[in-house]
Amino acid sequence: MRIGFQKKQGWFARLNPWGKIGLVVLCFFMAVALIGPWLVPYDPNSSQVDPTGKVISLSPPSWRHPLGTTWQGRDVLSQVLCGARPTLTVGVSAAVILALIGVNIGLWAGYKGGWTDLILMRLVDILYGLPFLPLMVVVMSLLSRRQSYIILGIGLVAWRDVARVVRSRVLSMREEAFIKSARALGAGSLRVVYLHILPNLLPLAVLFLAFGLVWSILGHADLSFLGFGDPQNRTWGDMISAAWAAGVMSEAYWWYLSPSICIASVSTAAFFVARAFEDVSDSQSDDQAHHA
Amino acid sequence: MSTRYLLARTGVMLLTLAALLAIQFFIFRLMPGDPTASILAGGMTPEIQAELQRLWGLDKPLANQFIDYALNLLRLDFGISFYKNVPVVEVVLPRLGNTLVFMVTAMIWANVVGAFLGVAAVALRRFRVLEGLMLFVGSVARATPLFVTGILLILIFSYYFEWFPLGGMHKVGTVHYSLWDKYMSLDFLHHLALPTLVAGIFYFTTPFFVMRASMLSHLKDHHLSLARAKGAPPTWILTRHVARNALNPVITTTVLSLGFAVGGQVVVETIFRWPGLGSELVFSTLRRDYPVVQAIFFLISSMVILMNYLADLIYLLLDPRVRYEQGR
Repeated sequence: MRIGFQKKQGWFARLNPWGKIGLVVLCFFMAVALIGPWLVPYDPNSSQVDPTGKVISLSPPSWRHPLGTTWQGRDVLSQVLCGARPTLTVGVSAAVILALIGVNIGLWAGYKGGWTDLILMRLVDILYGLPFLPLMVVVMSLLSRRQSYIILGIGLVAWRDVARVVRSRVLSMREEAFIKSARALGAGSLRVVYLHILPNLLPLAVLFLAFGLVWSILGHADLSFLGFGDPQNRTWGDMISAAWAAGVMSEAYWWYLSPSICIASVSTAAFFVARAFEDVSDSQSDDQAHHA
Repeated sequence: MSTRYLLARTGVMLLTLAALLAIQFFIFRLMPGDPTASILAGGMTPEIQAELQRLWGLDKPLANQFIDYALNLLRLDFGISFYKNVPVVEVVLPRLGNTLVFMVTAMIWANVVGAFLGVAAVALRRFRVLEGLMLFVGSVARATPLFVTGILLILIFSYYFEWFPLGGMHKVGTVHYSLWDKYMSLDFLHHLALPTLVAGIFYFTTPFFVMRASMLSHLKDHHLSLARAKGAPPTWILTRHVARNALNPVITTTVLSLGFAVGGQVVVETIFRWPGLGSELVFSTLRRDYPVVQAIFFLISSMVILMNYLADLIYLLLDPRVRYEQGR
């Protein structure tokens, strides 16, 4: 549709403004996740005492404790800084796993068709019937509550949407001239799928990496809030859960407000990035349709 | 054609149900040792353990165990609750009703509002700021954990304004003599309002985004040129011609997101102490009351599978073009 020469823009420039903001926010929290545990003013898990030896319980924000303290006198700022790492570790790893599985299953189901497609897509149907959070709650209580299990649980279940969308994209791409010519030249399935089809799906893969980040962060947060998170790696969800369980929500706003804002910002930022890549990916497939 | 689709869809539903039973059978055997070891750990002599294994059929071949297990679940014979010492059916069935009333209410209003807002976002796309605001609010609502919005709304409406109760399903000490009594009272609606609002804030976003995207893609349809040429007003075209066609993907995605929606249900029920399956699942799991956990997991999953199935049949009624060959 476009006439004349056009400067090829980098992918970052093609993101909409919200996507750019989202990416910056994500990078900020990634940095916090990396260096946060070294920045903490206090040990996040020990009670702070004032000079008279009294535990500083539920202190509002002050110079000494910029974000206040919890019921047990723990420093909220330190807990918030330390909560970034497990949140993003689980989010990113689970997103990578689910994108990898989903893209591969979608690629092969769409490319091979027939029985392969039928079996893989019934597997997707079955996964759609499994209620995600209840499943995780049950599995976490039967196994031990470890971070790696949360990552695996989310990664092994949530790839279903990725596979479905990738498959339908591959189905329409399979009949295009460049694939047919590659096949006519004697390229094997592996070569066609990974060297010819996959590169065209990269924006879609990045898009699902970002959506996967949203799903994993939300799933992990829900799990932590319900009390099935990893006790070794306390997250923002655990902090809000503790504040809620202590029943001091109406007085001690500082205890849950900062973790709430953090978790909502990270996952909203990832959502903006995902939607920005959705626009990029859509416009690309539009262009392809016009060229065809 | 549609009979074939119906048969195939029923086949998939039964397959999914069978897979669910197998997965559940497998999950509940992930525990180290067998149930006798983890449930009654501690001072149990080998004789008692052997006796229990015989009683629960754990000495039979695995295939027989699975068939017994599946049949028991399908007959709603869930055993006895460890914690409450009553048949599990008596614990879970009333909660199933409570969950369904809550979830269906939230899903219906959220989908109607979501689809309507999707149309509005397209109709108002000339006002860039307003459109941007709607998309921003939608994104934040979609990406904020339910417990964060839930706690926020409880603080505002229950603590600060005291408009709504803090949780539960009825005033303390309410006695009801029939189902009608239980669900058809102002007190019940008063308790239902805030939880459904919270759940709905999360649920409305999917239909909202899908409706908007679907509307935008249908704006290029050729038959709209005719409608425009004959002078139909833009609003009429949007609502009558575009929105009707754009509705189908909304139904599909709503159905596909059911498995996730149930998860949200668990969180909201726990925050509001709603006596449904979700909150009971959490409490029973924490108490390691496994017969109840198994029963609830089975009921929630079959609920998702059945709702999936029914919604697909409704979709078939709405869109006669859907054919088995096209798949999903």
